[in-house]
Amino acid sequence: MKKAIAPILMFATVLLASLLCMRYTFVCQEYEGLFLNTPDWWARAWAQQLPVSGIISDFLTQFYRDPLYGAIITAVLITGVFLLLRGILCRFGLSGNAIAAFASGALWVFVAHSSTSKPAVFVLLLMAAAWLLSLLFKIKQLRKERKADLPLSSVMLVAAAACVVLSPAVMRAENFNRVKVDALYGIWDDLLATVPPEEAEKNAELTPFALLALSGKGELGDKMFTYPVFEQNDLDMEAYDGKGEYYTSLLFKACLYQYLGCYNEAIHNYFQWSTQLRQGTSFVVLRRLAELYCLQGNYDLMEKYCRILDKSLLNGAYVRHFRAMATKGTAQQPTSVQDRAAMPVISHDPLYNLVLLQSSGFDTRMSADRMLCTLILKKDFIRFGSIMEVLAPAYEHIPLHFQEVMVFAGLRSFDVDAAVVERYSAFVSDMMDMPQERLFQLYKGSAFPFLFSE
Amino acid sequence: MADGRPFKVETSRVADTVFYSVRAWDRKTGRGVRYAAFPVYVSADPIDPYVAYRLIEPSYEGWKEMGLYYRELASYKEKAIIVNKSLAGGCVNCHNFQGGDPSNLIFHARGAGGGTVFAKDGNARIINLTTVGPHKQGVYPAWHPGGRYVAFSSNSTQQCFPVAGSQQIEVYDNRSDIILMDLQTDSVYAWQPLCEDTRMETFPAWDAGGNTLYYCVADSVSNVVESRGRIHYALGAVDFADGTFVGEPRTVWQSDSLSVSFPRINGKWLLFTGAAYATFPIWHREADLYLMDLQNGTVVPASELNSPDTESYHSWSSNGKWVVFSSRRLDGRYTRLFIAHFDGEGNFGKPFLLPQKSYEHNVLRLKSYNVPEFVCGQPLNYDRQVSKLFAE
Repeated sequence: MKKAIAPILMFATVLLASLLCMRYTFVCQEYEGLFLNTPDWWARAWAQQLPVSGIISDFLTQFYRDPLYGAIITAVLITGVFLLLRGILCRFGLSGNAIAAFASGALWVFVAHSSTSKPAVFVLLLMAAAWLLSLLFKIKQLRKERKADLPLSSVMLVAAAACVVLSPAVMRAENFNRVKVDALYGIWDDLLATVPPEEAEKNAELTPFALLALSGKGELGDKMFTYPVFEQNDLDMEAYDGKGEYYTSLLFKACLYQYLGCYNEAIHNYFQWSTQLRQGTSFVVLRRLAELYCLQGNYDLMEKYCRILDKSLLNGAYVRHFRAMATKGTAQQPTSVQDRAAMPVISHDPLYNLVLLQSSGFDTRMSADRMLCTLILKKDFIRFGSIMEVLAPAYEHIPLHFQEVMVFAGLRSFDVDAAVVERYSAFVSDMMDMPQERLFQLYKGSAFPFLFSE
Repeated sequence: MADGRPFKVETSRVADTVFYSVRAWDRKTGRGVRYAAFPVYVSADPIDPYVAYRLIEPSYEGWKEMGLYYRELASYKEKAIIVNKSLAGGCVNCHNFQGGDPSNLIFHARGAGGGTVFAKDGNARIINLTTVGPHKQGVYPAWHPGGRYVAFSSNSTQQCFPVAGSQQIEVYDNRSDIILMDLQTDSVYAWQPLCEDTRMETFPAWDAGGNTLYYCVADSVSNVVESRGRIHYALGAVDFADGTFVGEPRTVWQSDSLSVSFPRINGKWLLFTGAAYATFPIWHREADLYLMDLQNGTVVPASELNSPDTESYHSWSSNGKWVVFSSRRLDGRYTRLFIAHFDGEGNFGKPFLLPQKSYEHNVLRLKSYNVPEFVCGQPLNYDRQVSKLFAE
């Protein structure tokens, strides 16, 4: 019984810590993983480095959609390594709790910082092989019972847990993964709770997602400047620098265009995003493509992706859902040659795209808000005014920032709340005798600091 | 069966016809059903033993994995000629075997340190065409039957993405010219009439004797994206003798409603892809194959080969009796290969899908087949050599 204390402690610690700080990381590992029983998948799987560990890891990762399973599997892997290593050491007469705890703890820290469970699977397989080999040796008498072994193991375990739970990298990854999940599924309130303005100040990469959530809720025109927004790229993420930002930008644009209703461009960006994934596609990409083609009425392609997803273990419910959706929809008719030849095309200029969407039948509140906010960020008040003239009647109440721009730019053809006019006057007066930092702090959430900045 | 039912097939042969009879259980009644036998006519004409193609996701600007592969037609064996892992994830494209000879291959390997790979008898070398002669990049190749020259089109290719509708990508050229490479001297030659700024020339193809170079040509326009519906490539030709182009380029065929791509010559027949406009037919649902009689200039749709969906790249077998072509008729996006017999009199047999071990293969594969070419023998693998060339 005494022997079981250390592994139980190990299992419980890994399980709890993983549930505490890696829930969304597990979910995203499933999203970006793939395990299919298809010839091409197997051919690719066997061609990778360390194929057996890779295949087992990909198999296990498909269960991570439920983070509880992700935590259990991680705990089993780490505890497995602990037990095997301790077993090996025991055969050589060593009291192995502390050493095994140190090694498996270090492995856990490493796995928590990596994007797959492949390293853990690899080490487990290695340990299993070493343990089998060690069976060839006779058990040696334990040289000396070390009383401090269990407490020392516990210290190692606590240290490893601290390295995982308190790791800024793990926290950052978990936060980002939570944002990804929320953005993919439009869980706006949770996204805004995950990325409050203070968090966006620390991690600028998250600002566009927070602004996406605001536009999803119809609050962009009122709350954009509660976030640290300095330029157009904070809103649309069109420019990127380096591989990481490219990955994020593609995911962001895929979500954005999906919510804007422009499925062609969403599919474009999902395809592009998938090229950044480890296997060139993933469960979430296949599910999303099936969904988007279903929404477009392209049931041949939807069915293709459904049949591929059918070759996995846990996507049956999605497949049934998409097929049920298809029975209620209308099949897409091919666009005529004349219409195709004249069809406007998406550009690399987000503002142009938003104007295009507005004029191509995708005239949603979201695209209107984003278009006007982009014009504010570009400080193009002339175009803002002329577009506002067209769009203003559609607004029940003109959003705060739009009113602020009207006051600032003298666009008085619309009703502006008295409070906005007062606040403008107060800002102008405070500008004269207040240091800029204090002024900006005082008027945080208002467009005026941005409008008056160079 | 395609619906998942187990089935049994019986065959019987009468002369050149194989009859297939299928038996399966009827799910509703629980009784056995025997379907009427259907005939498959077997041609006595031999076919080249291999088909080479590129496998790539039908994606947009980016890709993850792609490669040139070949497939043995007498079995289901598929092997790589080169995969892009060997060139650090770069692009491999536009392969061409000289007359279907597996020992003479060219393809482009893009990326840092890349260029055009010339492989002869298992030895590969790489030349960056932009660094020699007129400093133009080589894109679509056409190997002269004599083996000494290769004509390349040099294209400045772009993509655009329609905001709505069933077409999701349009690929177009802003400029394109045709250049000629002499493999004996490794020199590249740009002949002015095929490099005019006022015209875009692309998709070169030699006739069997190597005396005429066919190609596609359209007038240059300033805003290709907006004008794409009005761009119709014509079929052009120019004579070639003693290593130089002679005479003036001429228009062989043109239409206001069809844009010509991929001319491929088989004796007096020229097979091309016709789309309603522009230059990249794989994204054009209306694209079909057309057969031209070079002797009298008549053009007819190759109706036996065409479907309501896209037909695009195609090539003839070395004996001219078979054609392999790409089509998107299965699902509208993932290009698959079809093979059809040609009787030499302008008639094609019914095309059949490149056979696969499993009926699900074409559904489950997430890659498209690009640029199918018949090959007369087993191609070699160039992964190691090209990887080394890239590292140098």
